[in-house]
Amino acid sequence: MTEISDEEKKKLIAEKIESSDLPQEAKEIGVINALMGMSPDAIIQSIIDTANSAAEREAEKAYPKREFTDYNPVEKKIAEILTENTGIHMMDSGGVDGRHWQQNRKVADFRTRPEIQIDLYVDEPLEVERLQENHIERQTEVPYNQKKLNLKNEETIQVPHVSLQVANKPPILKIPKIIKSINPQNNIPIPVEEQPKKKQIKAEDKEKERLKA
Amino acid sequence: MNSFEPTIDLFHFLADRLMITPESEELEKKFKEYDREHPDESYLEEMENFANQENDEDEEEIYTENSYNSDSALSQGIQYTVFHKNGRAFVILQIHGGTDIRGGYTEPYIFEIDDEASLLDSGYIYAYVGNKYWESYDGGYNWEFRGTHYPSDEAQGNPDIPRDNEYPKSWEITKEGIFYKPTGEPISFSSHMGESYPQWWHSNPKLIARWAPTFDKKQKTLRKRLKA
Repeated sequence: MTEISDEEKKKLIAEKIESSDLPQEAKEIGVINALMGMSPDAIIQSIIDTANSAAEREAEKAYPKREFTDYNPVEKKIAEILTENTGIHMMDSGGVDGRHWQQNRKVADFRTRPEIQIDLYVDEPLEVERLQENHIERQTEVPYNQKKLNLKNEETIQVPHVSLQVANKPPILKIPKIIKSINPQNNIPIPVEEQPKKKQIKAEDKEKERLKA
Repeated sequence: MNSFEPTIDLFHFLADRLMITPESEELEKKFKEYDREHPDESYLEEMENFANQENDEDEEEIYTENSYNSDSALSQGIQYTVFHKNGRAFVILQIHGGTDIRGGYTEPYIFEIDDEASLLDSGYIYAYVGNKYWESYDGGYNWEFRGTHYPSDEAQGNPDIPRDNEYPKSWEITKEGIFYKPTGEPISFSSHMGESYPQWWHSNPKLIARWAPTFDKKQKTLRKRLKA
């Protein structure tokens, strides 16, 4: 490995800082400190401090501190403390404007906020559980076409082709209903309603026998 | 299991408990001078040293508390030192304004408070519906029934009496809110004991006589925590 001189090292570090996404003033401080030959820790610290200051100034510009004129003295002082700038650090979790003091500067009126907030955590069925439920519903449901078929042909019960819950039912045996009678003379079916009464038949037969005699 | 998490708004919590008096303003001026004279001390060191310097000799020792270290339901952390001056209680208060809890505090400010334990109940939540009343001392994780039941009711079968780490069985937590199952009424929550007392409570001397010792017990518990 070829060794590089201190001057080259400084230049390399400065170039790296220059090509980074840091704020301009943080880059400038970093480059100057690198070229002055400061230790890496000192360079990093100077960059972080400058970047934090730049971010704070931006935040102050975005949400400037306001006055709470119509608050009572205690409320006013508390509101002022709540909106006091307590800083920004590039390594904290506040992102661009998530810190309490930043959020508080967006509050229109502290007095109208609820005294207590309740966050509800309601269990929702997992996606897998929902899919399972849907699957079982689909499987146990009688398909539409088969329902129609059952209505047309009552003598056979169509069991759904796949079923997890419904047991096979035995076919219902239906005894044919007599709906017609046969006239021995001309084999023309006579509607049930028009059949002569037994007594009448007997009377006619008797009359015929009498005439024959 | 459905659950809920109450958060006490810090603005209301402090506005209910802090007072600005001529004495507190005088002490705050004095503290600012102390701060200028001791540039090498951190705010926390200054708060404790100043409180020790001002504390009445015949009073209990000063104490410092950070709500982050207890079962607090506050919307933001607070750090404070309590001391006594001329028999009155004062607090030097900092509010956590964001960033990591080890830093990001405001400058210290001084207020007068009613009682040395005034700020210690930051985990107390009160729930009530009709003539029923519950209390949580740890930010809503455990609840105790303080309603109209009598010792004989404290059998396990009473759905109003919660078991450890459980909500009362008479509560129903839904997407729409928290309801009292027997009547379907919504349960109300408060961080302020006074307001959360139902009206019937105030007008019933028997109940006051019965439960007043419980509230005294609360203050005693807080004081024990102080000593611990």
